[in-house]
Amino acid sequence: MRKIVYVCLLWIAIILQSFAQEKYTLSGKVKDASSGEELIGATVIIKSLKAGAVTNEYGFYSITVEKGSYELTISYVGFVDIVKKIDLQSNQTLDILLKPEGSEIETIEVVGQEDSPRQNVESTSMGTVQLEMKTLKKMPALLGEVDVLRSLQLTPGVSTVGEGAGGFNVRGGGVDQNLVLLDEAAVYNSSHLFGFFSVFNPDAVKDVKLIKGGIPAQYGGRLASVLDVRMKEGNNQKFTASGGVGTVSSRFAVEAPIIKDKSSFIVAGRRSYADVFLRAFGNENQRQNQLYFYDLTTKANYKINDKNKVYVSGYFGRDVFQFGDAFKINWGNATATVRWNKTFNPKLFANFSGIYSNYDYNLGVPTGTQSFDWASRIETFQGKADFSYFSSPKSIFNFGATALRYNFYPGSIKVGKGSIFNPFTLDRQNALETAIYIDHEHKVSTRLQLQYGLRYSWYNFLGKGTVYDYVGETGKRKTATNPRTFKSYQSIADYGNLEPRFSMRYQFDESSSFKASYNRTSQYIHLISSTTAASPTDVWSPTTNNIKPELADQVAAGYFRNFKNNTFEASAELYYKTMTNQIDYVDGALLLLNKQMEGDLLYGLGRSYGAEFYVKKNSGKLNGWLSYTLSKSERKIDGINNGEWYRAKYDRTHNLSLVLIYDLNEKWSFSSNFNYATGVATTFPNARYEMDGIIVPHNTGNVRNNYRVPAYHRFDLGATYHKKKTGRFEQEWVFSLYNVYGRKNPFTVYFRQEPAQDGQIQAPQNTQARELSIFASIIPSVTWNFKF
Amino acid sequence: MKRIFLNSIFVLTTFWLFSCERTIDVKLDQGETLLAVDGWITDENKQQSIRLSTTAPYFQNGKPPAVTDAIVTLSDSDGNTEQLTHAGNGIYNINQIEGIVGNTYKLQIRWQGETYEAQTEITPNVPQIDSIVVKKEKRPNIPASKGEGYFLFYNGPENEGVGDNFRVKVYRNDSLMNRPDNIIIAEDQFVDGNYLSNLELNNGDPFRVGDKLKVEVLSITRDAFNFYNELILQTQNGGLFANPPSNVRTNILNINSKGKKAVGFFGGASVISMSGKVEGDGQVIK
Repeated sequence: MRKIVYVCLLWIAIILQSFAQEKYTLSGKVKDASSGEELIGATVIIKSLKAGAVTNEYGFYSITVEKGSYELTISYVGFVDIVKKIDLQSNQTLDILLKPEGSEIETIEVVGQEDSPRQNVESTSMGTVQLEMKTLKKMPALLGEVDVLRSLQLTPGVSTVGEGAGGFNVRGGGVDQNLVLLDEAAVYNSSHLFGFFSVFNPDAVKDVKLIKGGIPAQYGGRLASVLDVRMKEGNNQKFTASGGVGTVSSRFAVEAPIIKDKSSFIVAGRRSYADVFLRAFGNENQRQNQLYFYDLTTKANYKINDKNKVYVSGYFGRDVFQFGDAFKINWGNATATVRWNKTFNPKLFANFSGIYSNYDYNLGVPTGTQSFDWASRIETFQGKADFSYFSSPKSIFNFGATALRYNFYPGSIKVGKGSIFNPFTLDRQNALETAIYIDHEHKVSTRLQLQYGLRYSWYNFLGKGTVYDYVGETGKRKTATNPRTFKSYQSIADYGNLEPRFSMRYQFDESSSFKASYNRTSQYIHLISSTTAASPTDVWSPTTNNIKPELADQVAAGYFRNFKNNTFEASAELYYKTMTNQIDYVDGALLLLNKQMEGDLLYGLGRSYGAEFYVKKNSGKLNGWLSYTLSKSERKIDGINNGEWYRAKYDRTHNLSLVLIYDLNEKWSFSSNFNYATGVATTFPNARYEMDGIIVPHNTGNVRNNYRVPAYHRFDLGATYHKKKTGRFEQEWVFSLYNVYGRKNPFTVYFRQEPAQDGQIQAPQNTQARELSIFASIIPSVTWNFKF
Repeated sequence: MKRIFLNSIFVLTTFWLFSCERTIDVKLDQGETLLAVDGWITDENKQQSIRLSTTAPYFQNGKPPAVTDAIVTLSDSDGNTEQLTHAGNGIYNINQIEGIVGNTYKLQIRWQGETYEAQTEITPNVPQIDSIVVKKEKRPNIPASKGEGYFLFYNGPENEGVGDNFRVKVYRNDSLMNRPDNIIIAEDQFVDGNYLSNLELNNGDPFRVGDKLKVEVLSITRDAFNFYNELILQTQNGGLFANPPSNVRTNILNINSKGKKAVGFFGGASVISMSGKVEGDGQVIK
């Protein structure tokens, strides 16, 4: 390992020296002129040199070229491009302010807006979806709740196990195989209300990027994808407040400068209020109920000087349900991120982060003889350092290191006085995950660009605790043997993995390119969930002496092309992915509050492959996208489906989405979504037998996922009415019709005995197939938004 | 349990209004015909028997086809062996061997050229029912309930030592309350050695005044507990947090592991019971 580090350092030193000519660096940040928000992914291009830079996650860019006079073109989607002349005779810092399209102060020369969409063809990144919040807010949404995750499900390669199920599945990966980051902090459960809504407050989100393939070396820890959600920094120009009153929840956000141009903050909150209605109109019993979710997102930044800037951000969200004295459950995430951006010199940008993240749930019965309180929690502390060295427009090095401490509290039961239950606690589990990486973005020629990197991750499962070996028949519950006890922080098992990452782009001409990528990813934590849809009570488990790290290898290739002067961007991608150490469960597995839970786990392989097609129109009155995915995801687990390959539960052969947004005039815009997907795979019985009068379904071949539920399709309509601004006060009404033709899309199909009639003691001998649809009718909603 | 909780929470939210459950037509394959065993030996003093039938296509309603031509042998750990007599309709009566706490039992079935075996035991540590309390309650919050009615609550000690497993059977007017959602099983992992009080027995399905009641507590093996746990999971597998459908376990094994499989369960249990008649709110049956 040490050798690799030396080789890397040596290599950097050589490259650094080779650029010791008379060259100067232009660096700075690209920002939104109206709010001071740093823009991620804006391009700064010197046309005469065919050289340029793209801003990073903090809006920073750096270009090193020979001294001279240049014309810069700076552009970003949704903003007016600007052209700037510079005379570069020494290192120069230049912050660039871009004005949003449609803002009143549109006086600077407009050079068209063809530059940003060019990234589709020009960058090495593939398998990447970027969603603009502006677009998201116009799309029709379930009950008017603008939702990052639901919108992502309309893009290629992303599917779900069912409408309303928590999380999302990327290219055949499980919901736990997505690294969901909110300002770099991992979010361990991304759902509110069982999965109907996601935890991200749209008012506080600046940028959403999903990376499904060609994952750069800086990211690690999950197999399938990275969802990088970045929060707004807060307006550093003027005070603004915005909010909305919706069918399900209300939102309110305040952002303002603390010191103009230097420091600002944002606080955004959201709360649902179904329970308020219940309390007002419900009967006595309903008034004792509580059901709501809320979240609070906040961030502040302070620019110490041109070279140093700090950010502090946090998220806290909670779902609360209580039904009188009968039952209560609540769950939620909390994250905190502290970041320090440092520009060591115009070429070397660094960011240091300290990150905390927590997910926990409590459930139980509040009072009475059966009272108990069951809690489970995962908590992580992370330190991270990331460097970018902008050696020349042709060569950028990214390198860094991270250390992540996990505390798992799998479950404990506390009891009150008079309860029939005994208190119970599962041992806390500790783990350390560390990684170092280096990555090189290398423009070999105008046509060929490479990005290659290496990540080495090292994981250590730590004491204290008692661990076992498990013996027994494949596919059945195994018995724990050979107990061993470890002291605090004593290493129980450790694993290291080299993760090569590679992507390349070969550009045929201005508007078309070929890209290919390979990446290996490893994953050291696993969501233990035997239900089809992830539930809030699922528990994360570390990799242990028995549970091995999951590994995935993915190759992808694609053709990228822009049409009509970059008005349309299009891509076709093929991918093939294999996965090892995938986890499944024995029949009737007992996964919670079980000291020997590992005895109920099964392991095996996964593979998925598919083709993704994407056409997006960026500008004009009519914009939107068309997405189609043809794919297959399979699993092969010892003890399931007789050890043969079978379809994963979220396998959907076809998945088609069409999103259209039409801006009629300054007042009205209209939108629609259409989604069609093959029904999910499930197991149907082929026989029945009777046990003591109860009919039991049975599959005599013992197969898994041999059927599909009927296909899923849905059409939504939306309209936004912007009222004319009165003073500073802006308002808009958003109308949406979800599931316009009231399709009863199946969530699950299950088999049962016909239920007994009133007073009947024995259920009838007849059996039936039942289909559950979650959103089975047209769902209208109105949301009122304001801003001042 | 957690799944049922979560599913019922969903039912209680306003989102339930948008959802819809309906019976659909599904064409199913027909699986091969397998032997199905439904047999118990208990320490009760009554005629005991093993019922043999076969699997049937899932939508073939009515009684399952009886197996009438099997050779069924039962032996116990005291060295007794008897061949059970077929009493018609696939019922094979046990005539000599008695269910005794602490004994193990082996069932052998020879049918259509295959030999199947199952083993069980009658576990000791039978608990004791102190009382059954009848309470009148309104239950608008429980969807399965029909509003108001009389509910039964169990009181009794649990014996020390983790590893006890139970099934509770409730009879109303001499009929076993036997819908899939009536099956109550319990383990003592979290209640070991405690006094169990105020445990509801009829899962939201109330009694009326004048109804005869009988409560049986069966002490069963861990394997039987797992069998019922899976049976409950698979016979009520709907809702937002359904489990992937899979087969319920069996302890009926073909001695030739490559031979035809069988389904069902052969279990042993020691049984205690308490009976009475529902008279009114607050009544204590001892």
